[in-house]
Amino acid sequence: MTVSGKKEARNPRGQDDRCAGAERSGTATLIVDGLTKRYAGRGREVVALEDVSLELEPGTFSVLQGPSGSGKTTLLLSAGGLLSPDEGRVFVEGHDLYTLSGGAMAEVRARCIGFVFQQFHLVPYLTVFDNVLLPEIAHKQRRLAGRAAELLATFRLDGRADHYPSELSTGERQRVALARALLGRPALLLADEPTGNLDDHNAGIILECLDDFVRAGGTVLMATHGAHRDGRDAVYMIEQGRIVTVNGK
Amino acid sequence: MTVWGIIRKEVAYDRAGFVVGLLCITVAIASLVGAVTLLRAHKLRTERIIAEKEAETRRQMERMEDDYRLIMRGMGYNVLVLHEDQQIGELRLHGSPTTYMPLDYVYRLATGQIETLNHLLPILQKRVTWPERDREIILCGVLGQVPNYSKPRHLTSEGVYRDPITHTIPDGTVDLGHDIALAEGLSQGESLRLFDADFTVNRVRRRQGNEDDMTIWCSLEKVQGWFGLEGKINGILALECLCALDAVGAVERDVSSILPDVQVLEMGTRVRTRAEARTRAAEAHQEAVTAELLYQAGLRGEREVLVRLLVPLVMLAAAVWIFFLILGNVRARQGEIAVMRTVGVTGGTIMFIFLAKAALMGLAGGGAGYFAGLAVGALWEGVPLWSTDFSSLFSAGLLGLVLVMAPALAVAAGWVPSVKAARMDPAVILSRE
Repeated sequence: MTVSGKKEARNPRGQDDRCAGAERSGTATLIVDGLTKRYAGRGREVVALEDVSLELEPGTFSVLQGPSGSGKTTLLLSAGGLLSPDEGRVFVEGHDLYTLSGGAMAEVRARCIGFVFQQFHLVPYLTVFDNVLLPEIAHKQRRLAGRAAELLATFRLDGRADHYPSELSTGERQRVALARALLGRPALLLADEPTGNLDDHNAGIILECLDDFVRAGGTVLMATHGAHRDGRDAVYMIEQGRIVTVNGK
Repeated sequence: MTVWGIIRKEVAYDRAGFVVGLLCITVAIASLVGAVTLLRAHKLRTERIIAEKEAETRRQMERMEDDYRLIMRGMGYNVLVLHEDQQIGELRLHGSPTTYMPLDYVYRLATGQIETLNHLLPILQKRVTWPERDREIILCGVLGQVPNYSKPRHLTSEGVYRDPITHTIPDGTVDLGHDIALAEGLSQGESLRLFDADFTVNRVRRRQGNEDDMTIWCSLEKVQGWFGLEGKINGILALECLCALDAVGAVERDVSSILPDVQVLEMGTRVRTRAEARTRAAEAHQEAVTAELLYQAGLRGEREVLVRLLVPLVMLAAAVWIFFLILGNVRARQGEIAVMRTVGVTGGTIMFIFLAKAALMGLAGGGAGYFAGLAVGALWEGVPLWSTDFSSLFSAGLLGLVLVMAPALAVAAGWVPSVKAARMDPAVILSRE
């Protein structure tokens, strides 16, 4: 199984590389610099992330590993521009996310970042094809139907294009969610426990898809609370909001 | 995939929710349109009732007018125009007027555009002793009726009086009152001698039960000559036109505007009584119309109060209902909202999705509500559907207003939930899992 063709092996976003900004600096897809996030809860402050920094290069697959509540999801959401940190900065493809306006931030998310969640979050009233095509409404150009069909074929879902999410298996649902995340040819894929609800077979398929994406030049940051598989570029161990260990290739 | 595509598919998926919202708007708009239609139909019905009552009153009055015109004409003259110096006591004492006025007066009245008098008859009347028979009589010189020239219907095309009460007495003839003819044994065609002149009895008049029964009528010129009163008369008999519902005073006003030095004496109280009865009947009809108008106005007032209370309440209830409906929809769709945010959909687009759905709901509900309200309001007032009355209740302006107002109501009601959806923090939703 491959995520994309030869062209995407060099650039996962293809030729329409709109997420590259003029202010892009360096080659890293994602730079997290001194990220701190605190929550106020029941009279005391909870530190979800504390001075977290990391840098992911294109074509790398990184795993964020830690127990529940360690701050993995908070880090992914902050890295994806969905959760404003108290301190620190996040760069995606050179864009300093939290200095952008709401519209510009949405544009960067549409063009540069893909999200995959444990719960799939498919829209129940849209067919598989329409779910994959959903990000098109955030894109100004309307020529993504071909890309959606291509992704469905890649993920062996072309026979399910007209089905609704309720008619799919959990593995198929996650593949649809992954196809949706890849529709806009993102540079960065943020995956939060994407295999958490899957059996080993389906988990294997999803991880293989992610590997294909990385091989095509994409960057993956995957959060998981379980043991990671061997062969990843880097494993970040996170505990109580701090990265305690980094194992890299 | 377009925003409208998402809206269409969401509506198709959550048909029940959309239909409930649509029904809600339909009911609200139907109550508004129904109330307006009810009031308009009521107004139409009231106008028709009043028009029918007025037409019926008019028909009855016209019928009565014809009846009374005939009755009054049959009863003879009921007004005597006298010189203003004439003492009524003198008149009663002598049985005839004792003051004189020019004959010209009758022509002034006849050409004076007077509306309240008909059948003008100039007279020169004197109570005298019939020298040849040694009998007290009233001698009445008459010229023949002078038509009221302001009423051309009384004239033929040749300008001749069409239908006089009193016919001209031919020269050399006299008319006799019933009692005189009886007492003197005279009948039509017989000869008699009066003030040294020979006359033939033109006709004997029917018994009247008044001084007419002892009156001899002959030419005005003869009587003027006998008493040296050439060009003079002492009264003008007339028929007061009571059919026009005018008050008696109107006759005096009319006459005195032309002849300031005369007075009007009314005779024939039976005519007056009948005329007044007729006036009262007309007033009763008018009162019935007024009472109906008041009743309908009261009914309309009660309905307007009800509408003023009910319609805003229903609209408010609909708005609250739609608010909670869209709020519920936003809550149910928060996972999808979060995902849309992650794929780069802006808050504005998400807000637009919910508001557009509300506007669609309002548009469809407004259209349905308009026609439902129109039908209910019309049927409530007893206006059958497919009738011309029903089609006259249709108002393109109101439909247009409703088609703007209903979506505006739905959008206003859905505004806060839509803003909430737009501002929903995807991180909060996604991190719950």
